[in-house]
Amino acid sequence: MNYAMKKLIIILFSLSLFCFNPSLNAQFRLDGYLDFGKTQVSEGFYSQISNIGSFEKQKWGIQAGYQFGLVQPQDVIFNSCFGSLYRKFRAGNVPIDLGVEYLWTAISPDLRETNWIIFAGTTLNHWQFGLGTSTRTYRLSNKAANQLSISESDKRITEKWNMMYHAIYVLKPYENKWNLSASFTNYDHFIVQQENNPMFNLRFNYKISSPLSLYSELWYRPAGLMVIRVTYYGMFIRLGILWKI
Amino acid sequence: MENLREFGIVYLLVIILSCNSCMEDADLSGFLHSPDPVNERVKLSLEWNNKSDKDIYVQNADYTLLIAGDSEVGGTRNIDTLFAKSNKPGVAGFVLVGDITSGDPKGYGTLVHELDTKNHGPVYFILGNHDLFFDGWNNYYNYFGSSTYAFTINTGDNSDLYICLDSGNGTIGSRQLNWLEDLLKKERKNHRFCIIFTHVNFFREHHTFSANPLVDELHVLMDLFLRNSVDMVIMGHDHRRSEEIFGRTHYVTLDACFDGFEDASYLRLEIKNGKLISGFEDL
Repeated sequence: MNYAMKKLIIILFSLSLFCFNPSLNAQFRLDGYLDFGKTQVSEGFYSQISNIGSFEKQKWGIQAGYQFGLVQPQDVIFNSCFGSLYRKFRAGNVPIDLGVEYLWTAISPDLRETNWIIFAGTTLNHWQFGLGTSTRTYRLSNKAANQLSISESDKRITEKWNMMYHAIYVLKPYENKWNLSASFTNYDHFIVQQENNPMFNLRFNYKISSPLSLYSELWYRPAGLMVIRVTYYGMFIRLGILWKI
Repeated sequence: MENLREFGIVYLLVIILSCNSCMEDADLSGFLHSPDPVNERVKLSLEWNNKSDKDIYVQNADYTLLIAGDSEVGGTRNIDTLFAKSNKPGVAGFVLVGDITSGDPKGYGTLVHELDTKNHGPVYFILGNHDLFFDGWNNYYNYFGSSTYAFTINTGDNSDLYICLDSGNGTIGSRQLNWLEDLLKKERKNHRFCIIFTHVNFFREHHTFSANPLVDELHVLMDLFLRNSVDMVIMGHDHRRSEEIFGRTHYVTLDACFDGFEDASYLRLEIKNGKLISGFEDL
């Protein structure tokens, strides 16, 4: 494990401790979920488990999460992690969250992907919208670059900016015991697709009690929409539990 | 809300206008449904491969390969120029990395006519998304056969492996990925250089609405290419040249070469003194 990775884990751990501090008198959310599905490149079924902690005060919030691979073709266990910081404000009557995020992904033992993200989102009565931009870098791990004697300039590729978007329609008022929502987006917590590769998602949410909810999501992922030859790429199901402390 | 709505409308208009270059001859039904999905095409292609031999044997240790993308025949001026260049001494062959036609039967007919009536060296076609418009797969398969295949160029002392992938749907699909992994595992060690051709470009060198393979597919392919010391990946689709070296692999995206395209060019790939040398030449 390299120095940057250790540093990131320490930061995430510190954020978690900070979030759990009861003296802060703010809202803390813990979201845990299990994904299982199949894609054109997953070599059969894959399964991943993720945890996300959020801490929110009146005007700002932080979020951090990590993902482990349970069954997957890539030869890594710790897949991905992120940390984000956002500020809450209002533009007229519209509430807006504006934030930044850093996302780190282990593609394989030798390859990494990192994303720097700026995002803005709003939650209305039945709709949620988000818009953002990300800059993606693919790079070799330091170990692989040294072993293969790869020069500094050939260790990474940084892409030009990418647009991120989501639109979610929520059927019932948020306080309802159950809810259904449908969304259209090009990103999820641990992956940012190019803007020309959207994903579709249906979600069912059920409140067991005031702080505790269970949810299930069905994700459909096409390929080739923007080459005008759309085809099936993959699908996965998410089962999650959300705890508002 | 009003601003959001306006932004949404403008964004959709930008997406539609950005497709302007392909809209004139595009088969818009492909936004909803695509017949002949990639896994089915690969199945047919692999069956075809069993009955054909595409290997090239050259007399010298050094040779040249010409590679162009997005000819989108209709027009034949540039493609005829490239056919003529492919027939010169020392040129082992000519590869067109997809969008060879606009998918309509007339374009396929024109291309086949040029192939039949003009002198040219060995020609290798890769399938692109445009070639699938208007049920274009039937024509592609009837005229050219496989869209997923490999060929070698043998110089006597050395052999180089060239792999042609079908990314016409923006994904290579599970069947082709299995084939590619198997091929690299068995064959890579037997060849000096390994070069891969595929239509849809991997990286976003500039901001574009033009599609790329999904990120998780890129993860798998980049890792596969690194582990197997793939020397070059040559792509088209974006109509705008770019070059990146990542790890051991040189990723090249070609300019388009269709008639009337201002920056039309092709890539000249030379194997000289045991080295791979590449450079763009204008048309």
